Amino acid sequence: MVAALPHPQRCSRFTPSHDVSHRQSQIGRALMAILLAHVLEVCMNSRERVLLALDHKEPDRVPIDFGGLVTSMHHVAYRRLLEHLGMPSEPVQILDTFQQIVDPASEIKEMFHVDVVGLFPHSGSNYEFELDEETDSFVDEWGVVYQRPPGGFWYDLADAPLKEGTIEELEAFQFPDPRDPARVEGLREEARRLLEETDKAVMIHAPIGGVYEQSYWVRGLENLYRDMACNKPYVEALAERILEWLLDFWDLILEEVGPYVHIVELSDDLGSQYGPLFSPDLYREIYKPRHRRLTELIHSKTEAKVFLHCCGSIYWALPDIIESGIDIINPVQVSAKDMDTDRLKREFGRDIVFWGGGADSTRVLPFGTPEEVKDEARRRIEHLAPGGGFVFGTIHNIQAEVPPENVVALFEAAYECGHYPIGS
Amino acid sequence: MDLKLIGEKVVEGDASAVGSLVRQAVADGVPPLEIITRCLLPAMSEVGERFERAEFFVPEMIIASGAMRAGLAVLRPLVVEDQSGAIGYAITGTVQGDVHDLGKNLVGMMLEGAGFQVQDLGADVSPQRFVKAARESRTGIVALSALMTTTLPAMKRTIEALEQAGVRDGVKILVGGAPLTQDYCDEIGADGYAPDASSAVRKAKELLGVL
Repeated sequence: MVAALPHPQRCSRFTPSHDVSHRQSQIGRALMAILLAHVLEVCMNSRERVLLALDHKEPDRVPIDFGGLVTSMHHVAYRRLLEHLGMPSEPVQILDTFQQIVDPASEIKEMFHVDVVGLFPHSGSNYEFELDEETDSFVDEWGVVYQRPPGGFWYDLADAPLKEGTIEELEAFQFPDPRDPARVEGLREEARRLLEETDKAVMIHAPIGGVYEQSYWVRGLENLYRDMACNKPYVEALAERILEWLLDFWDLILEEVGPYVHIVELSDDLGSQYGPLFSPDLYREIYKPRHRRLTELIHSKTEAKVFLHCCGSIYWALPDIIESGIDIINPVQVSAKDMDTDRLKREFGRDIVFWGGGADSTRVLPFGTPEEVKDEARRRIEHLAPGGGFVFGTIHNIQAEVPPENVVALFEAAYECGHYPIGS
Repeated sequence: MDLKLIGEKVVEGDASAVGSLVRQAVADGVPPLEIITRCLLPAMSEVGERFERAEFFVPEMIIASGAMRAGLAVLRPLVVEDQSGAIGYAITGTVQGDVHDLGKNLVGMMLEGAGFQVQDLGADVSPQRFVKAARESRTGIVALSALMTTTLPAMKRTIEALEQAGVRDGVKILVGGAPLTQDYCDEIGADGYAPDASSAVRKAKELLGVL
């Protein structure tokens, strides 16, 4: 059936007949839009705003995220931001040791109009974080060693526990207990508190990367790549064990907090600056089906949307990512090849929510002027926001060298240019 | 024996087959230099082309480079240093504060596969260590890698240190890594930028005029 089109003559009756009234009408419409935006904003809280956007509808303005595991800020840049804003730069709450990012203060989140709040599962009961100050290194729950080079900004993989890369070694390797009750101790209460005492959308974060990422943390990146080229059965066996861990983990977590969360954060970087890191065939054979199994479990346990952090040039993978049941893609790394936001929105905007995309974090955000940052943010909003399905955020964590003026400009632009209708 | 097989096994990344085939070729009396120039170097060039055509990805590059090295390990002791067929000298390293070396290692291996003699300084390399190595070599490529925007300034500092030490003009500086651009390369006064390992080889040859 063909839908009836509005009769053109009916519209033309309201077309002003001369310039002055036309201009008045334009000004009037603009004022109405601003007024409407403010009225809506008063009526709409952060959570409603995010949920509408995730539902591919236009809220009052583009929701803003800042302060999650992949949308926060290095502590050095953060301290500089606090100084710039005339606020004391201590104490600073480190959210993640490995990345050296902060949990920004609530005043900053309010200032930046942040609409999302994070919820973080705990470590297992057998694990205690301990920093070896002499070597500036620590070991995680899986036996992965992280070390920071002198003068470095964050920690990196220094030693991986799976050294041989054999099935026997893998079978004998003790994974931490995914169902350790310590992981959810007090988590339901915290989730309920966030739901009841804040008006933000609640995002629960994964403590480890996805099936592929965790494979290289426990095996070492170069080793895993060798395995990919020479020992595919091993790569698959490792992926399967990690998937089993993740299924158990999310089953436990969502049993506790499923009704209270709106977004479940997963992570698996598939792209380099220029395209796939490894063969797309291998991704489709080994990792994609496991992403699917994980999203099926998550969707069966909660109404929350599934968010995948996937860096790099991933245009080639987006149809597969959508088929895997992922609802939200982050960080929309605009500096990478084929990540033109205009085309991404046109081709995939109906099927996936874009989360991030704020401003090119390799060139504009660290090295541009505040005006350039604003221009870029405005352009990304114009591309990604129409029709909803967009949450504004930084493209990965803001790194140490980013000037505070640019950070402020970024979030000012997100708010100022993010009111619907976009471009009004 | 069919020398072509050596190249095929390099492209497949079969290090042990390359090692034994090369040993067999040497035993059959094939001159070591001929094995390098007729088998190993063309094979690595093929690997680079497949990478550029998106038929090969990082894993395939890693194992092919490993296979090439297995062949070189047999042949190196057999060729006198000045007859090794090296087309140039290259120093590689990830700059200070940055421990990411996968991309840098690939560049090193591809350079080696293209006939360069490569000295790898590793990761988190101070400007002074680059200066020392460049002073000793006096010529060739100095290839600097950085993965992070936060370590880009270390690249600039390294170039400044090479200038201050008076060795800058004797070498060609090649830069690469995820956040790098041609603009940044120009800004810090490097001689060339390459976005990936395969194009790094092309750029290095171009800079030394050994195309």
